[in-house]
Amino acid sequence: MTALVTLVTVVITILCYSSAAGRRKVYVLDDLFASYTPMRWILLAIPAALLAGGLCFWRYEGALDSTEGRGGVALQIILLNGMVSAMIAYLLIILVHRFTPAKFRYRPAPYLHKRRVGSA
Amino acid sequence: MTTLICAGGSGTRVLEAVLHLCAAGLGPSELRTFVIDPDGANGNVDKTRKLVNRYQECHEAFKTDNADGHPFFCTKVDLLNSAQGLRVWGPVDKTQKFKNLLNYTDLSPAQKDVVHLLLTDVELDMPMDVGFRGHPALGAAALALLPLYKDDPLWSQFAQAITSEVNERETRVVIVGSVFGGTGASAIHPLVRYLRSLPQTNREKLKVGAVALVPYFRFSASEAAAGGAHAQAGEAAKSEWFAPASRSAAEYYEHLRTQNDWDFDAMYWLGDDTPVRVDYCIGGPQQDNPAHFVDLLAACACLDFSASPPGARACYYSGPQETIDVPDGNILTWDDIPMCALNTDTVRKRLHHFQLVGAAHLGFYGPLLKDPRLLGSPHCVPWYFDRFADGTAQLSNKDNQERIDSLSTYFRENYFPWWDQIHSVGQDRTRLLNRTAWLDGDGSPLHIQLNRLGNLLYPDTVARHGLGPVDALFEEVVQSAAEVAGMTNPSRTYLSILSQAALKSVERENRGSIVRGA
Repeated sequence: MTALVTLVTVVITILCYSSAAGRRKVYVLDDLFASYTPMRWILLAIPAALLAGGLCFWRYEGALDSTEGRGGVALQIILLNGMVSAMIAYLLIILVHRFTPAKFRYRPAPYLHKRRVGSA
Repeated sequence: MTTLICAGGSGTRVLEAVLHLCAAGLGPSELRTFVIDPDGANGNVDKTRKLVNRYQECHEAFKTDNADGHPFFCTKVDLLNSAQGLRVWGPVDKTQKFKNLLNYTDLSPAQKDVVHLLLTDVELDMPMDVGFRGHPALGAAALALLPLYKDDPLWSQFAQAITSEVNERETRVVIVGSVFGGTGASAIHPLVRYLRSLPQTNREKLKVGAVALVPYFRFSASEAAAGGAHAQAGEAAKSEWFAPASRSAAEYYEHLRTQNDWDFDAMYWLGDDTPVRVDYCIGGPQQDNPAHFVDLLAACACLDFSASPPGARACYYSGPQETIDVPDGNILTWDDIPMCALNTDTVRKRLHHFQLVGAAHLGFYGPLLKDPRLLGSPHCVPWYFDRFADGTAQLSNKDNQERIDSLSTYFRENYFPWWDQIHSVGQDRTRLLNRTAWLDGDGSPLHIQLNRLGNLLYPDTVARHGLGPVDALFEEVVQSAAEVAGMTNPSRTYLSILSQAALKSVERENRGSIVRGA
C-alpha cells in the first residue's frame, strides 16, 4: 500500500510539476529571476506521506500488538514515504529533461551549476 | 562593388535609408559611397555622417564570416580611405560668390553676355556658403567643370578604383539626387557623362543607374521670411519652383533619350504627388529634414540596381498608391516598393526579421544583458549560461559590452527613429510597419511595446497583441543557442542566436498569416 501511495504521489507530482513549468511564461525580465515555484509540487509528498501513515494506522490496527507500536510504525511510514516520494520525484525532474521546459532547464538544481555561477 | 554617389540633401537622406537597409542585410557585400554637397555642414549631412560612423562600428563589431551567422551589418562600406568618415565633396568654395567660380571678372565682354543670358545678377552674386539654394543652373555650371577636378584626392581615388574594377568585373554606380532642387538636379547628368569617360577598356562593364527624386516635400520661404527666419528668402529655393523644375528635368532627360545620348543603364523616377510640409531652412546645420518614405523607395531602387542592373536601359517609376480611405494623400504599402531583381516578400521578411531583432534587443535582451542579476544567477538564463557565462566567451567583459552598447545605440538613436519618421508622413499613409510597436502611450518614441512583438507589421491588430511572442521568442533563443556556431567574438554569437530565433518566429508568423489569409 505504501509503495502504491509513493508511486501515485510521484506520478502526480511529476504531472503537476510538468504542467506548472510548462505554463510558466517569460514575459518580463523579472520572470526569469523569480522563484521557481513549480518545484513546490514536490511538497505534495507531505500530504501523501500523511495519507500513507493514516492508511497504515488504520489498516494495521488489528494486526499490530499495541497502539504505541502502531503509532510508531505509522510515523516511520510517514517519514519514509515522504522522503522517498520527494526524492524520486526530484531525481526524475532533474534527470528527465523533458519534464522541464528548455528555458528553465537549470532552475531545478541550481547548485549543480555553482562552478560557473561563481566564475561568471 | 557598388558605388553610391549621393547628390544634395535628398541624396544624403537616401544614403541614410540605404545604410539602414544594409544594416538589415539587404545591401551588397561592399558599398563605396560619398556625397556631393556644397553645403557640407547641413544638418542632414551631419546626421548621415554620424550614422555612417555608427554603421561602421556595428559592422566591425558584428560582421559575420560564416554561413551560420546573421545577415546584419554585413555590407562593408568603403569611404575611399577617408579617416574622417563620410566624404562630402563640394564643387565650390564656401567663401566664394558664384561669379568667382566662373572667373567672371576675367571673362571677355562676349563671354559675360553669355553668362548673363543664362544667369541672373542675383545668381551671380549669390554666396556659396549653403550650396546652390535650389538653383540648378548654378549647380549645372559648377558641375560641368567636373573633369577639371581629376587631381582632387577624392576624384582621383574614385577614378582609379573604377578603372581598375572594370578590368576585373562588372562595376555598378548609382547616382541619386532630386531633380527639383539645386545640387541633385545639376549633378546627375554631368556625373554620368564623367563616369562614362573614365574606363578606357571594358566600358560595357560599367553599369550606371540614376535615381531621380521628384517633389515629395514642400515649404514656404515667404512664410519663413515673414516669421523672420531668413532675410535672404528672395534668393532661396521655393517649393513653387519644384514642379516646373521637375518637368524641365523630365523633358531634358527625354530629349537625351530621343537623341540617343542616353548614358543610363536604368533611371528610376520616384516621388509623391501629395508632398509633405517641412520647416523651411535655407541650409546649414538647421537643414535637417525628416526621413520620408520616398527615401525608402529610392534606397530600394539603389539596392535593386546594385543586385542586378536591368538590361533594358529604361526608366522605371514608383510612388505611393491612391486610395479612397485617405482622401488627402496616397498610401504606401509593401506592394508599392519597386523591385526587379529583389523580391518584395524577401525584403518584407528581412525587414520584419531585423525589426524583431531590434525590438527584442531594445525591449528585452539588451536590458537583460545589463541586469546585475544575470551575473549573480546566470543559470536562470540557459542560453546565456551555456554560451556566454564563462571562459573566453564572456559577454560581460568590457569589449563585448561596448559592442552591445553600439548595437543598442544604433537601434535606439538611428534605426527606430528613422522608421518613425518614415511612418510619420501624413495620417496613416505609410502602411509597412506597426508604428505603435515603438511608441509609448503618449505617442512619443522610443518605447518598445513588448506586447506588439507579434504584430510588428502594419496594421495594428488588437487580436495579435499580447506577451505570448516574448515567451515564444525566448524559447527560440534557447533552442538557437544550441544550434548556432560560435563566432570570432561573443557579441557576434549573441546577435546570430537572436537572429536565428527571430527568423524562426517570423517564419512561424508568416505561416500563421498565410493560414489566416486562406
